[in-house]
Amino acid sequence: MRFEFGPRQVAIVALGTALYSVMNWLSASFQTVPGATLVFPATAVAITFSMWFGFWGALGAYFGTIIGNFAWGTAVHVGITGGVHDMIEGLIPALVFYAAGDRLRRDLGDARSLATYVVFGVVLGTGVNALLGNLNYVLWGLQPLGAIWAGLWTWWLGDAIAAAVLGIPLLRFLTPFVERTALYHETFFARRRAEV
Amino acid sequence: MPALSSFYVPRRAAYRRLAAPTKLAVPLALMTAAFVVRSPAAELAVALVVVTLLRAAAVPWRIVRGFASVLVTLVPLVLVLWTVFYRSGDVLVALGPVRITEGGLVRSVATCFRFAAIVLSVPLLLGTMPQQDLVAALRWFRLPYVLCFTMALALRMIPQLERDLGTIRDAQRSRGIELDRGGLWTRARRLAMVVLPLMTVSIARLETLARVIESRGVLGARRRTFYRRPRPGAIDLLLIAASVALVAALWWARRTPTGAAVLG
Repeated sequence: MRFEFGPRQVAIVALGTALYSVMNWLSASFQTVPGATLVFPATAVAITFSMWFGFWGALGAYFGTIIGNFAWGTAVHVGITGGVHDMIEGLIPALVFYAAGDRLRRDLGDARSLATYVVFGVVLGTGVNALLGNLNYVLWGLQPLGAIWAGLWTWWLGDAIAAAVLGIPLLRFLTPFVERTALYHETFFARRRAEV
Repeated sequence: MPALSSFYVPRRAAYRRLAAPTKLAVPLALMTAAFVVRSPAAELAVALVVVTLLRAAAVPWRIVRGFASVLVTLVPLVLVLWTVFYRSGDVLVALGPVRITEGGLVRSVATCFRFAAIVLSVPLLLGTMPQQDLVAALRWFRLPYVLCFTMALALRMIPQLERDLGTIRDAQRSRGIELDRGGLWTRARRLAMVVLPLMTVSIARLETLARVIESRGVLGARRRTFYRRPRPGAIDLLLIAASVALVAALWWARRTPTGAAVLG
């Protein structure tokens, strides 16, 4: 597997971090009850960046969690471990699409690609993130273990709505644009496939 | 919530004269201490140290208030979650399936103070030094250059993205799209009208940024020199060592019977 790390990857991680942080703050306007949001737009950044830029896009979500949460008053410790599950949220659908190669379209241009995205991105990825996110809070003693199920549903709902309402149009309309740039990653770690 | 770049306000105070690595180490040590201890009294003590340092650092109230407002929503939530879902010790109140225990009540109060200590430590860090100093402090602690550079780049992009976001919102409003009206679902769907242009503009800018990084040889040079280099004095080094020692001492003390009784 080809591995590429250079100026483009640094720029991708930096933009991913900044966008994730800004979207993190934007979620405040969708609070339903204190601490729970109806939509968490940063999810869409984590997923789309992972789908377009592979591992480097997901890394942006990781650092974005640390910076974004920090500015909200969350301890950096929680962000360091919490970034991992926010990264996983984007990585789950991205790995499926990268593994499928040309059989799935990252612009979700056919029914099979759209269905795969809904299953792995909207449902599974966000669900795993919600579960691990709540466990992370338990790990740091911020939430009791018994409250996981209460927190899980609101977290999952907020992320799943963002993955559907924002993730689908972003992938549908912006993938052709991103593909034309020199930043698009054909493989998980590199922009171009290894030449045979 | 104000932009990350707007937390720092220059003021004259003894705490402000400390070197950037010290102003990074002290709040981080206090946050860690808040995680190490568990009793309400110990958590309150950490929170009080943070408040004292905030005053010593002359961090403006409007900055502190921005963070403290998070507590207004967090504290009731924490109180309910811990008292309802955590059961330990004697049952104080039983209302059907809900049982409020002594242990649950103690942990809920302790967690509230823990949150207060953590949340208020953030303005102590971000409000006492500019972003450049924060990155320089990370570098002083020997974090890899590429990581510090990426962080600095991201922090610099955030205000630009916030300006873009404002411009796009205004542009959409001028087209008659009401972004802030309607139910939550309507607003969520309209959010795509803001996020899509923001992503397009950002990705278009990303190509230029990648070329700039490449042309300046950011990732190429082995040894680097810096315009801003923190030079911690004896007091700084002492405070950094004391911060590390405090966390280590608390961690060790919690493992002794007396320490466990006091610290939780």
